[in-house]
Amino acid sequence: MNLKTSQLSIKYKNSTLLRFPDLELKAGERILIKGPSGCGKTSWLYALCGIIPLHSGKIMVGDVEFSTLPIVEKDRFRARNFGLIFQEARLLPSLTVNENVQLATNFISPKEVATQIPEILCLLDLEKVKNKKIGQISSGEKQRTTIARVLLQKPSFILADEPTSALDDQRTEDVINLLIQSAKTINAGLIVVTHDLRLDPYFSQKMDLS
Amino acid sequence: MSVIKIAIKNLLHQPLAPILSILLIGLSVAMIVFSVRLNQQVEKRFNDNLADIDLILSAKGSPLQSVLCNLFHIDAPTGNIAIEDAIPHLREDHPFIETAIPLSLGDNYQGNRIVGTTLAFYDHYELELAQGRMIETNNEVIIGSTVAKERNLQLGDHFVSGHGIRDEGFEHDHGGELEVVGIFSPAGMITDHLIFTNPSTVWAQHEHDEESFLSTPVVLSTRDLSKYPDHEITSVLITFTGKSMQILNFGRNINEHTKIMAADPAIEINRLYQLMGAGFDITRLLAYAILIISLISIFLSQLMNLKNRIRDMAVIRMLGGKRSDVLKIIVFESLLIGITGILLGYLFTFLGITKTNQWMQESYQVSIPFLTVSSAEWGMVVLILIVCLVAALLPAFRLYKVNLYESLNQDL
Repeated sequence: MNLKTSQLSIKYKNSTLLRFPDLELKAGERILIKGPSGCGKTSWLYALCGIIPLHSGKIMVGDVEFSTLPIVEKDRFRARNFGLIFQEARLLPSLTVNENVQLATNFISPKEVATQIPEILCLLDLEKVKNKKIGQISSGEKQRTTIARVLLQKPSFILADEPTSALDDQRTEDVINLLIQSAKTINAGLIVVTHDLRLDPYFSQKMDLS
Repeated sequence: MSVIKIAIKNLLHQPLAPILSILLIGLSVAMIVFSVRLNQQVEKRFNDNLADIDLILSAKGSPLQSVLCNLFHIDAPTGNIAIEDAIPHLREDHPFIETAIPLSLGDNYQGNRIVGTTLAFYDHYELELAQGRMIETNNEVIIGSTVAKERNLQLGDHFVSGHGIRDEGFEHDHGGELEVVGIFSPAGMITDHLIFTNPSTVWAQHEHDEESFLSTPVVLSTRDLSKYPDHEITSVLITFTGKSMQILNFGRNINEHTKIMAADPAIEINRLYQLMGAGFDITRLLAYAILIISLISIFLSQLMNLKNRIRDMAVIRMLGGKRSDVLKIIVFESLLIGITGILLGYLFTFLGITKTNQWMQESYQVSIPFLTVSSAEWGMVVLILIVCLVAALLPAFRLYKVNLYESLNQDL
């Protein structure tokens, strides 16, 4: 599946207009979106997956013009096609690691996919903490839990927002390798938005928003 | 994983506030249910035991005490009256009085009152023998069904009565033993808890020597009673032939012109019921106040949790869930608190009934039913669930207006 954007722009509440370069990404490819803090990288990522409404332009995911879908359909389409990973993990604190991962099958994915959870937890070294609540695990384990959920979600594209900016070199390497490996596992396109220059060597395709 | 399961997990994740709300709801439900059931039971008991008695003649004192003692058997007599004073009202040809039932009280057996009376009582209360026969001479008794069961008494059993209306351990020395000659069928009234004998047995029991005991006459009917004007009885229960101005003034005339007192059971019970009703109303008011506090606590905890909800909503929507899924979680949480609180309240009620029923039965011949759910209780249950729903709706509505971008930008 291809992801193609053309002439995207968004408008902030203070009327500032932000225009973004066009992007084309195929399944299995990966791209690094660079730029200094405050240049609109996260806004671009949010616009790309329909979280921020567009001022102009269009987003095609396969044959679907994603940007024009109504809200409910857009939410469901996003959940099927975009797996989102943030710098800080977004998980439900009342659930265990296992249940948070399982949540990916709750609303969109077929329930049978849940049978793959043990395998995914094993792959991401989360077996030992699978029954722990989110407040009881480390930030690295939280990050891996989010990635596990995305793997179960099997989206067409993985979008990662500053996944390594607060990590040391070793952890940065671990996380980016895990993301690349995970994207390969499910044959998803990988889009990483960052100002972290350490990620440059891992990507052949790059786009600079500065 | 269903939204109900997520709601339960959320409640268990930070259980302090929900537990507090559940306890408060439980407490108020228990107070309301207990008060409603006790109120209904007391009202039913009062109405059942009024037994269409229009007037009670007894020694001067408190009319309410007279009614409680002679109709409900839960208070002490106001004293005795001389048969001489009661004779005008015991006449069979009295123009206003249809039935006159003499009562002689003052003795008990293990706390069950012994009532000296005549056949007129059994006829009026429509008591039927389940076993045995009617009383034929002194020192014979017929017992109520509950007495037979609780005191394990059977036909032919003998026992010694105690002096006083409560079991205080003072047995009569010269009255001889009483013999059970009959057992009444259950009537669902206070009569099930009483021991019946003829009026002269009560006199015989109070004689102080063997000779006097043996010379006590045998009185079985109201007509015979009039032959002993120098003896005493406790009261006369009266029903009128109808309603007229003379009958309406009958009680007042007795109170103003004779040595005895006339008490109107309907008026006295209405007065008592108003007093008790105020108590029940205050209890219920207090219970509803606690309920309102508990519902405010649900509302506030939901509101304070709104930030976490917004964050949860972001996660759920990113995974394809709808805003309505998050709203369902909030509503389920609130309803779960309400339902658990109601169940806990009924548990408290059952425990309370178990603990108090025996005492209430012995003291007031009232027992609160376990399983009868009245329309007032159903109304309370529905009201609690509706208010729980309302307590969840405002936070839910505020949440509904937050878009995904804002929810993602919540500080973690």
